[in-house]
Amino acid sequence: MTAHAPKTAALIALAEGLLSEPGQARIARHLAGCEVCRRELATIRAYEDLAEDARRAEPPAVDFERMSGALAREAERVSATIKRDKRRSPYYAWGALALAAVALLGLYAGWPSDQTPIARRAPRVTVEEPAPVAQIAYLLPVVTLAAGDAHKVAGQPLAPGDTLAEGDPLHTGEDGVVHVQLAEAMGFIADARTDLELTRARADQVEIALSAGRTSHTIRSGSSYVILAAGYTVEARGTRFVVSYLEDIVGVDVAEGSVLIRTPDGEEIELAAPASWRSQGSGTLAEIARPRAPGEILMELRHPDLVRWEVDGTTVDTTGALRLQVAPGEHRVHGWDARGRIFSALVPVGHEPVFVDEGRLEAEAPRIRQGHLETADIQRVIQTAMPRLRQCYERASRESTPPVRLRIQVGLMGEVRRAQLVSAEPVPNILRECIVQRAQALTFPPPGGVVPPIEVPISFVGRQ
Amino acid sequence: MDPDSALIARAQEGEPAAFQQLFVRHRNDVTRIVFRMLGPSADVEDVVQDVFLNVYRSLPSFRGESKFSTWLYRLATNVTRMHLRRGRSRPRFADVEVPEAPRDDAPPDSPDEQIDRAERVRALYRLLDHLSEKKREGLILHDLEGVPAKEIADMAGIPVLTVRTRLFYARKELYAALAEEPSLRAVMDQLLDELPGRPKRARKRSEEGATPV
Repeated sequence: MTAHAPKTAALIALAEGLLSEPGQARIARHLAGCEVCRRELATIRAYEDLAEDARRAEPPAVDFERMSGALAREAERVSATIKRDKRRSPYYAWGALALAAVALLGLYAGWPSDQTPIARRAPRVTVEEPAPVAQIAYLLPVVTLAAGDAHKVAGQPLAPGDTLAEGDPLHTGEDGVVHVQLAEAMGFIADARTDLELTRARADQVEIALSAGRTSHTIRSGSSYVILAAGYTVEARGTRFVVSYLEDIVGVDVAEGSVLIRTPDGEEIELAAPASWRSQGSGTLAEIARPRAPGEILMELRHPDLVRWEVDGTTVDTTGALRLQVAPGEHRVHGWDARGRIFSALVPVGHEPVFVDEGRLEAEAPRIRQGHLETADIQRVIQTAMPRLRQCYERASRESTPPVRLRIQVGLMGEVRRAQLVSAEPVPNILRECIVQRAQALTFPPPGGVVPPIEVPISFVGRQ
Repeated sequence: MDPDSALIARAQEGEPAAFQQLFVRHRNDVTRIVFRMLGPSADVEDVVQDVFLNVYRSLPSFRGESKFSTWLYRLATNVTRMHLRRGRSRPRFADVEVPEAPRDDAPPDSPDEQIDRAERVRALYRLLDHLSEKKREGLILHDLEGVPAKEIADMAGIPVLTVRTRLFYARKELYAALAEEPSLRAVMDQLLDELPGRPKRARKRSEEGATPV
């Protein structure tokens, strides 16, 4: 019997009926001699049984009549507030909307407590019953140094002073380097040839998905700070460390404090400074279909962006790379990235191991197409919105404000996917939130594909 | 177009009857999601009422950026989470006792089997309570409620990859807890006996006769 970590991903695929008959047969052969995997599969099935019981469980009978009185009173109250606000000036309606939006956002997305826009003479509806959730404080990551080829979305170059938001990707080229300050005494450096995404940027939680390259981190003790790379999770306990993902090897060097590494197999490795750790190159690969059957050939698939793979109908969820045994012949390989794009390749397999890299796995329809927005259309939408943007300014203050740039990312259907206000000088929160909120309600003509963010300079001049 | 959009528009105009109609349309779905998230609990009714109170208060600001059902699910899970957090400060029984799998001499839905199944579901939720909040929620939504990973990602505002990673580790943790569970030992042994050459759903084991309780 070989002692090894159970191949949980493959066993789940088996239990869920995702494996082809040859795949099932291969796993069955492996199971016959592997007690670890047999026990894991038995557990998976025990869980499936319990989950099936839970799925079949019916909710208890609820007396909806009992709650109808309280709900009817609340409906009357909210309706009365809506009508009262409509009768007053449009400012009140916007105030109600803004404040209700705050309550809503507080409820399902979190909102920085110090940035809550409070409309003047705010309607009472949301003030009386604050949303019962913990507030989330977002960090405002700032680029403090950018050199060489360093950019984020759609090739947009990064410069010192640029702000990043959750979900922003960051790329450095051959000679690029970027320093990002996340908060006081907390930040990271992305060295040359690094690809990462800032998936979480919150006061209590930072998460970075590293696709390639080398990053150095300095964090405050006690922060929740996680780097994901090739299925490995590096959880920092503090306070200075380097995480790299180079040539399929994940590396962690701890200069100060300690980190906890979770491997794709669920193994946990505690690393205290000074210490270095490297994953095995091939150990980062998910594998299916072992042991090798006579006549089968090794196929290795690699693409840093792909998180799900399908080969001849067998699906495996794993990031970056997959290794499997296949019979000679033609094989259709599909892969999906985290955004749902499909990549595919038709791979002929002879009698030699086959290596398929990202160059051969091409994005399939629906491809990400480059879209286009006419400048005249952009101007028309912005001009139409200008009176409402001016209302923000009038509600915020009647003094001159620094020039700001409104950065808008337009989605495929012309909707605003993200709006951000950029300024070198402080902008009152109430103004920032109001403009961002109204910008998010804009609709552009569908660009028919991906377009770079639109930058709109806005300058408000105080009234005499 | 969202089938609820006309009702939402009327509610946003301040028509109380529209709120009531939204409640009637969605109360069963909300009850089910609350029940899934809470597990067997006497608090389902209170939490459902809380969800709808929050829906009413937040509806004026619903802008239709996500489907109403996604928005509603997100709100329902958040309200339930807050309820669970409050409950966590109360003492709980930590023991887990998983009853035997279905008996082959009992009809599929006999009262005995219903009681046993309810007890197994309670045991599963006690094990789920050992997971972190995020893992627990993801696992329940995905595995028990059947919500696709993409929709969970939309609800939580996180990448799908994070949802999948979280699901994987949640299952791994749960498997480890199940494997260590003494009351499951007999079931596990039986499942193990069936494995080589019989890669079929474990539920079939009842056909071969399980040990009566």
